[in-house]
Amino acid sequence: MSAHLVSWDAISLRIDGARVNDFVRQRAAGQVDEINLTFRNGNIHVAGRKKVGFVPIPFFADVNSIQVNGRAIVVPVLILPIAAPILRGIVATRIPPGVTIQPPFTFVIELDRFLPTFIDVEIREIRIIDGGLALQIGAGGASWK
Amino acid sequence: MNRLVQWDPFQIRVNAGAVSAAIRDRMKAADHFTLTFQDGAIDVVAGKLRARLTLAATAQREVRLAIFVNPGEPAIVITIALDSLLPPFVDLVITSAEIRSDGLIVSLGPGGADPPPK
Repeated sequence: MSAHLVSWDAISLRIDGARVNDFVRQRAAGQVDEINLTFRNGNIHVAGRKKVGFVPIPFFADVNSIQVNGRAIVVPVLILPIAAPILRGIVATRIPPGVTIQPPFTFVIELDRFLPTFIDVEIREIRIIDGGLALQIGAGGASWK
Repeated sequence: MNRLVQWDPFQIRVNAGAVSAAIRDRMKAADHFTLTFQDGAIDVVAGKLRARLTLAATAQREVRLAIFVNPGEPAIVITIALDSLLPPFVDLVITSAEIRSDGLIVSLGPGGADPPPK
């Protein structure tokens, strides 16, 4: 046994795509007029619309993989290059501390900013699956006093 | 509706040494306290008090511990309810628990969690 008070081996987690979609819609309210995320095996398709004046402009984006890089989760978003600076400007004001956007349009999420310090967790893999995400968590533990 | 995050069954281990250390830290009379894990029971010595803890039962949302203070006398049964330890947006169930010499093994069933309400 490890020195952690509580420890575990591998844990399989799933994140529900429909609930993520609801969450993103709430967060994007007021910024875009419509946004929808569709989770398919190996792809998250983002489709939305934003009115510029009276003209609704559609936009699309795709995420084909989510990588784990040490203590960071890297989410490269594929969009039209011309739209990247505009979208970065819109999104940058809405993202929490611990999340950054690197050019052209890659989200980097620092795990340590979101996890309590007493939890030692390692994300081994994140796969995009039909209807959501599948996460493989490695051995870890928690200790607190 | 599905939970935002869902998990398959998994096991957690509670480390015997870490539990002993954590309790000793909280007790003033550290020299007089020992906690000894054995397969099936935990022996507690705190000053003049000696007790043996066993798992009386486990249910999906609770663990019942039997505390035997005096041999031959009925045990004191305490119930630890998960609902009192976990926030309501976490859905966790216990499928089994076991006391072993190296700690406590708890098997958890499939469950899920939602973001905390604002």
